[in-house]
Formats: sequence, structure tokens, C-alpha cells
Amino acid sequence: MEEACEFRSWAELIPDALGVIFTNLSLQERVTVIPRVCKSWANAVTGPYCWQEIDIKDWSNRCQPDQLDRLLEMLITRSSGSLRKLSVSGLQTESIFTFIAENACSLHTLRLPRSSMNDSIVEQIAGRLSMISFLDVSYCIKIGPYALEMIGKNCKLLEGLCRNMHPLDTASKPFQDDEAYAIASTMPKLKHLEMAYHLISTSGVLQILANCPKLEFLDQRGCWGVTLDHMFLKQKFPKLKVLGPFVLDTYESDGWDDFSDVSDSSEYLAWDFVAGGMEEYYVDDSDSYDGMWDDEGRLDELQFGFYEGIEDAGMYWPPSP
Amino acid sequence: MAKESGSSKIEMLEISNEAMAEAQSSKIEMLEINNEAMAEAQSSKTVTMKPAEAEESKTETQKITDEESKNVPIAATEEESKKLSITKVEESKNAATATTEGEKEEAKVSLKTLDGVTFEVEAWIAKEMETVQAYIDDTSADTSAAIAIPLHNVAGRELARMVEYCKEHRRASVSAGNLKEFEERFAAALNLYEMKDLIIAANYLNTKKLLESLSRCIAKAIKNKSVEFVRDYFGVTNDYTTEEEAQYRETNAWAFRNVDEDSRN
Repeated sequence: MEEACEFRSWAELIPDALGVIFTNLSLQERVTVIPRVCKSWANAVTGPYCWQEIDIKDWSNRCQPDQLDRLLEMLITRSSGSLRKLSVSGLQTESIFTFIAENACSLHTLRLPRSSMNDSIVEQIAGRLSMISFLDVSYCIKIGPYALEMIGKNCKLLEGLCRNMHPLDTASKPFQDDEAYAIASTMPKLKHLEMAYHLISTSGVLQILANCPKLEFLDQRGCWGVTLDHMFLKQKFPKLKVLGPFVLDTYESDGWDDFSDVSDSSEYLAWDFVAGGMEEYYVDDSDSYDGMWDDEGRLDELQFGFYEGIEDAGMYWPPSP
Repeated sequence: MAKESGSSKIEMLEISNEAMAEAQSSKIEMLEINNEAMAEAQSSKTVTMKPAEAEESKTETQKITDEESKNVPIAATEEESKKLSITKVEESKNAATATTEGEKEEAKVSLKTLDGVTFEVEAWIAKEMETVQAYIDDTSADTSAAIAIPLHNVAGRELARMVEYCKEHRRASVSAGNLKEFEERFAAALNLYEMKDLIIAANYLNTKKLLESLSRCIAKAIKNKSVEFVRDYFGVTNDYTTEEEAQYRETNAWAFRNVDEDSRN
């Protein structure tokens, strides 16, 4: 082993190169371990290279709202306008949405599940989200068709949308296709769409299928208002992968296709009433799809990521060309 | 229930696959070590290529391999790499001859390293090095064909490894499993300082795949480790006072909440 002279010390490694290493570490390690190694590393880890991708979904569940806002502002500020991916859950303050929009000039992936955004806020910020190609507004119960329309009209590059809903939020409400019509009329380039437990009905889905010719994946599990013949879909939309039971009646299992997660109805019923478990399930599910989607554009990373374990996603996602 | 058993089956398959991959990679490592020893033995001889030798007909791969091993004397490399001065670019007869010969086959690019070694690489490899490709794009076709591109901050040993990586990477890209195995084998063959030098070179030449691959390996080595471990691992001196470190923890208390320091090695 050669002796390290001053010039070749790791401490003096070019900040850019250090940044590449640090981006492979968790947020917690980038904040609690790396900066304490030495002062030059503390400087390197606050540089923009380390913060082009911010994923604090896990942190979000443990923070107080004001704490979360301050953390997010600090991290976004570090990215210095180069922020590309942002994942954060449960945002509540109107000013934080504005702050995100003001720093979204390079942002292409935005996940804001369970946020308190409403139509008015979306209308204000949508104009600055024009670079977005993937958006997750699952479980955002305060937005509706108008917000989706604003998003569709301003985010011309949008290819992926997550609009999953929690079954407890949609239970006992009438079917409603306004959001489907908003999607169909403003998001023609969609390739990936998730609307689990949404109130959408058959005619809404047909509108989307008719107006989004590039659609490759549709998750409509728990969309009890949708009844579409499997053969019809295969003939009309051969490239489309559809996930989800096609029946109105939750007690009827005959209509479920191969992708159903539940093998028999009694199991499903028991599972249905465990609200906490269900929430966890959906969060994980959404994450795995998002993960696959994020990697699609980078073949190497996709292949590598698959082996690092996105356990079930490989069963649903078609192989890359 | 059905899903769980399916998932556990998949996990078992993954585990056995990994075990097989590790067994294979350990065998390959043995071969790799032998190859490296031979390469070092060869490279300890300083060989000057004569024009007559350059004109001999050899297979393309063999020729490049010979050039790589013969033209990277380690002692000279280490000595040269300590100097920060810019090496003057000198056109040599060998370079000119090699370039002429290269043009007959397919487009090739001449690269001259910090320690004066000239490499002939295929155009697609030069393209992987975005800094080199940018230089080529900025230069007119006539002049770029005649002159070796100077690489002021890259030593011959690093460039040889980068070229090797690009070739093997393309070969291994046919399947994800092969690719992962190759990347692990490639990184395992390097000691920590060789890894650092290669990261610096890859960063300078903007060879993204190599840079990301090496960075993943380094990050993997320090994941879930303590601050002290990271310092020792990299040989970094702690320039914080006790007060400064305590100050940092206080300022960033939000990030240390729920941190279990004992769980780190």
C-alpha cells in the first residue's frame, strides 16, 4: 500500500467527484455523517451537486409541518436552481408550494402525495412547473378536476401521473369523471397513469384511452365504477398494460384478471378493513412504480436498480426495448 | 398469502443468484490477480516502439493491448503524477505513424497523457469521454487527425483503466447480471488510492458510466458506517475541534433525532 502524500489525500478530492459519491448515500448520512468527517467534506456536501435529487418522503412522516418546511427550504436552496427530482409527503403550508415552484426551473419529477394543495394554489404555481414530466398528487384530497386541468395545460411534457386515492376517502361517494375528462383533454402525452381507488367510471377511462394514444400503463385497481372487457382492451390497445379488477361488486371475484393482488374474495375483505395496513400497502406500491418509472430513461441504472431489489415491480413493468 | 409465498420464492432465487455470482466473481478475481501480476511484470520493462515494429501487422485488439501494457511504466507514472506542471505537447514519429495506420482501418483518436504516453483509441471510446469528444467537436477535422489530444490531468495508468472499462462495459452490457458482475470485479481489483485516482480522471474526462459505477462502490463501502470509520477508511484528518463538532450537532439537531449512533460500525 502506497503512502498517501498531501496532494493525493481524499480530503482534497475534487468537490464534483465527491458529490457524485455522496449522492449515493442516504439523506441522513449526507447530513449527520459526511459533514463531520472534515471541513472540506462539509463544504462539498452542501454543494448543488449533492442536492439535485431530494427525497424526504421518509422524513416527512416524522416531522412537524413547520419543521418540514424549513428543512425543505434549506435543501432546495442548496440545489441552487439545479433541482431535478423532489419527493416529499404531507406538505401543508401554501408558501412552501410557492417556494418549490420558484425553484422548479430544472424539475422534471415531482412527488407531493398527501399534500394540502387546493385548486387555487395549483392555479398559482402550475405556470412554473412547465418542465415536469412525472407528477404524483396521490391522496391530495383538496384538489379536483380544475387543478388537473391547470396542470395539464401548463405541464406540456407530462408523461407520468399518479392520482391514487385512499379507499376510505372515496368510499360511499358517487362516481365522478370530471378528473378523467380533465386528464383526457389536457395530457395527450401520458404514458403512465395510476388512479387506484379513484371514483372514475367506465366512460372516464374510455375518454382517457381515446385521448392518450401513448398510454402504456394504467393502474385502476379499486376503481369500482369501471367495467371494461379484457378482450376489448387487448384488441383496441395492444400496447397498454392494465392493472385492476373490472367489477362493480366487491363480493364478485370472477372478473379479476391475472394482475389481481388478492387470490380470493374473503382474503380481500379481511384485508380491506385494515386501514393502517392498507395505507402502508399503497404507499409501498406507489413507490415501486415510481421507482421503475424514474429509471426508465437510464437503461444502466434501470438494470442495476432492478437487481438492487424493486421486488414486485418487475412483474408488472414491460421490459425496456 | 399467495403473493407472500411468491415474493419469498423470488427472494430465494435472488439470494441463490447472488451466491452464484459471488462464486463466479471470486474465481474471476483469481484470474484477474494473475493477469495483473503479469501486466505489472511486463510494464516494468521500458520499451520504445520502433517504426519497424509499428508497421508489423497485428490484430487490432492485440496491438492495443500491447501498447497499453508496454507504454504504462508504473514507476514513471507515479513519479510524473506528482508534478502539477503541464507537459508540453510534442508530436512524435511513433504517434504520426500509428495515426496514419489507424486511419486505414476505422476512425481513431490519439490521446497523450500527462506522463507522455500516447494512446490510440476507437472513436466510440473517445465519445464516452465527453471532455475528449467536446475537444474533437471544437477542432477542425484536418488538424484533429494529425495531432494527439493532450490530457493534462490524466496519467497513462488511469487512461488505460478507463479504456479497459469502456470496452468491457460494452461487452458486458448484453445482460444486467453480467454488467453488475463486471462492475464489481473491476472495482474489486483496485485499491483505495487507485480508485481515487481513477475517479478524478473519470471526473475530468467526464466519463459518466465509470464515474457513477466507482461512486456507487465507494458509497457502498461507507454506507451505515460511523464518522470515525469513514475518516480511517479514507485517511482523512479530523480538522474539527470538539467544540465545533458539538456546534454542528446542535445546529442540525433535527437530522440527529432518531439517529442510533450505536448501530453504526
